[in-house]
Amino acid sequence: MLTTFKAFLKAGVRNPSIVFWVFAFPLIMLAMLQLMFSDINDMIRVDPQSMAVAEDSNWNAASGAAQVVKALAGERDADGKTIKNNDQKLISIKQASGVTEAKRMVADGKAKGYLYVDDSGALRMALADTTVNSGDQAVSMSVTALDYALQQYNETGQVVSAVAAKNQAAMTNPQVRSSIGSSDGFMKQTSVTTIKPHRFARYYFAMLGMACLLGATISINLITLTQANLTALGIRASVSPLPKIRQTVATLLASWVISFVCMLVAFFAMRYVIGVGVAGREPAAVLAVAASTLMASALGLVIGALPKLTTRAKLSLNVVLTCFLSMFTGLYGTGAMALGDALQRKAPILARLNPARQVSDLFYDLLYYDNYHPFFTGLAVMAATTVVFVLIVVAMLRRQRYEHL
Amino acid sequence: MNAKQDPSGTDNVPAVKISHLVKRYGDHLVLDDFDLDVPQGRIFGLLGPNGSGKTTLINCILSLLTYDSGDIRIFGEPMTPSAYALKARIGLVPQDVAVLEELTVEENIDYFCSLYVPKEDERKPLVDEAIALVGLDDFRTYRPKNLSGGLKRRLNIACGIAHKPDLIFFDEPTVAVDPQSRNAILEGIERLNRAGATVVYTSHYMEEVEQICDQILIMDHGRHVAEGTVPELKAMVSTGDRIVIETLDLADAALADLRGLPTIVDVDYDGTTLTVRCKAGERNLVDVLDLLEHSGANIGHVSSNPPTLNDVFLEMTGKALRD
Repeated sequence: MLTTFKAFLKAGVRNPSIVFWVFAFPLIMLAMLQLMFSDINDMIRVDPQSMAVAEDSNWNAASGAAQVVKALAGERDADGKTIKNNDQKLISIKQASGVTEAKRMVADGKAKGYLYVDDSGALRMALADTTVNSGDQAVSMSVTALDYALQQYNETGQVVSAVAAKNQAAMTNPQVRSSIGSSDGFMKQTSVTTIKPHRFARYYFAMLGMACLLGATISINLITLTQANLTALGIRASVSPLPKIRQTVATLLASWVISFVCMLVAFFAMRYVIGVGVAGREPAAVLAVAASTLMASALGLVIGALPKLTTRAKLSLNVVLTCFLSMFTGLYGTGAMALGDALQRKAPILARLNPARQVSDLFYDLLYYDNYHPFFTGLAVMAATTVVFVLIVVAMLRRQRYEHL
Repeated sequence: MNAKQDPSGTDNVPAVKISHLVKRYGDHLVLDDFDLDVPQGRIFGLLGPNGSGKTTLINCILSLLTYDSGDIRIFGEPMTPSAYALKARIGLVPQDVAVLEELTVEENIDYFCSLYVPKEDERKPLVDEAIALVGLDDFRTYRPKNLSGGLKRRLNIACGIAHKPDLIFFDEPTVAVDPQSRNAILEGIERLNRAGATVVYTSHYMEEVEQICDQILIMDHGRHVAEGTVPELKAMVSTGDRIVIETLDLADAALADLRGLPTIVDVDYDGTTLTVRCKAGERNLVDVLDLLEHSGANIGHVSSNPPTLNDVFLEMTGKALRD
């Protein structure tokens, strides 16, 4: 059995398709995710936009407008104090004597738009056509944020006016004054984990699930080498005195070792190159990789032992199955995530049966939970799934004589 | 080699004994009440055209295929899928080259040998011996994809015989092999037999079977057609020599006279070569030459060939072996 294990280990490692699907593919997927998410980071970047400010009589009459605009330019904070080296700027100010000059500056391309105070005292924004139709996500994001800030300012002004009209005395209360327009209490930034998780961790964990299942390629390839009804090599192995169960165990072990090493490389690349952590629980993550690859190898044996299908058909079946099961891990985007989450809520047992989800959930459990209980529960479910796969394989391979070859 | 040192002390039992074997694929009868008795120490040829049931028969013997009825015994013991002691004494060289493409020549032979001989120190000399036997010493580190078709076939053989089995099945081992490799393969099989192995050799190449087999069984449509040594098989049929004569001026009357001779089966003349198939008999050539001489024909090169296994097969089944 040991020599079969060694021979299959060599055969697996030297097989180019196995090397690609099990070793290279996860690394390629990691690189693709990294590229994709770095692009998303660019898309949600906010760059300061040059805005002309029409400092006319309306402007001078609205004392709060200047304070807001300087705050938006990062020159002053909400209390009017000067800020140095602020990188949170929405605009850079281009001063203009009035709306006419501001419009000229926009027409000359010196500003993306201009800010002005209208006759009612509201702070308004006008944008150049090129700014409105800009395909630059950073411009769109900045303009949207700016529009929201101006809206907040104007609404706060209306509230102040209304309060002052009804109860002027209330405006002398500093607590009332400071609370108007404040969003404190509506939103609070909080963390449910001890560490700050990578914002795209779920995608990476889903990718690990997919890569693990693709690792079943190895056991599919290797088990066919022991099946008389599948290959001439299988005929040779079947007439040998080495019992089939021992050949199957050797196949499983060889597949698992290759798959485990490859996935470990992928995990470490994800952890230390891309920076997707597991809350400092790396040893447990290695255990997760080991259990996941063992389960995937056992699944590969089941697929590999299917009768009346060519090896190529089985490999294709594995790819299709992996792609389908990965959908419920959220790998394909927010829609898939919602689908997976809905399945988890409405049919948790069915969701648990999904091997791809089992893998991604193990890493998820490590990252998001304070204790190891969910992780070990997931590990136990995975071990049970593996045992079921092995029992199915034993039942399928128990027959040693065939009607046809 | 364990052969001829049967541990059970049953040297006289047949290496393979099959009684009334019936195998169907659905409604198609592949093996029809088939009997086989392969004595130990022989090179036993199974001769039959493609589709005659040779490979199915071997797969049944090796317990790879189920069968409808009958009894199969190897060295006197019933052959079953879990008869591991018996399997340890059997070697198989399958029709298709069955090696791991990712392993080298030496690694392949070592792997297949390890299925029978787990201990590495015992295995090493066996592997070396098998490599030497098939003449692959210079190709030990080659991967199969870098070997020619003939060398691959040799590797296929080495993988099947490295553990020194007592009984070896060669299932058409020379298909698509160049003459040089074919001769090397046939010589190797004879060496294995001389060392004590019983060989069951299937082929539809009659020349090979005739060359190396001590005993031949002719089968067709899953049926046992005839069995014996080459002379015994040839003696079973009425076909005699095939006489070929070069002559350019044979008259129609002479051809008619030839066809009238009582021992002549068939006459063919294409204007330059006269081919005459005769029944078995000792005076055929003399009679034909006498007749041609009296007709005044000029005679060139003359040859008289004894009947081949193909002639035997043709007479017994009504069709040529390579149909």
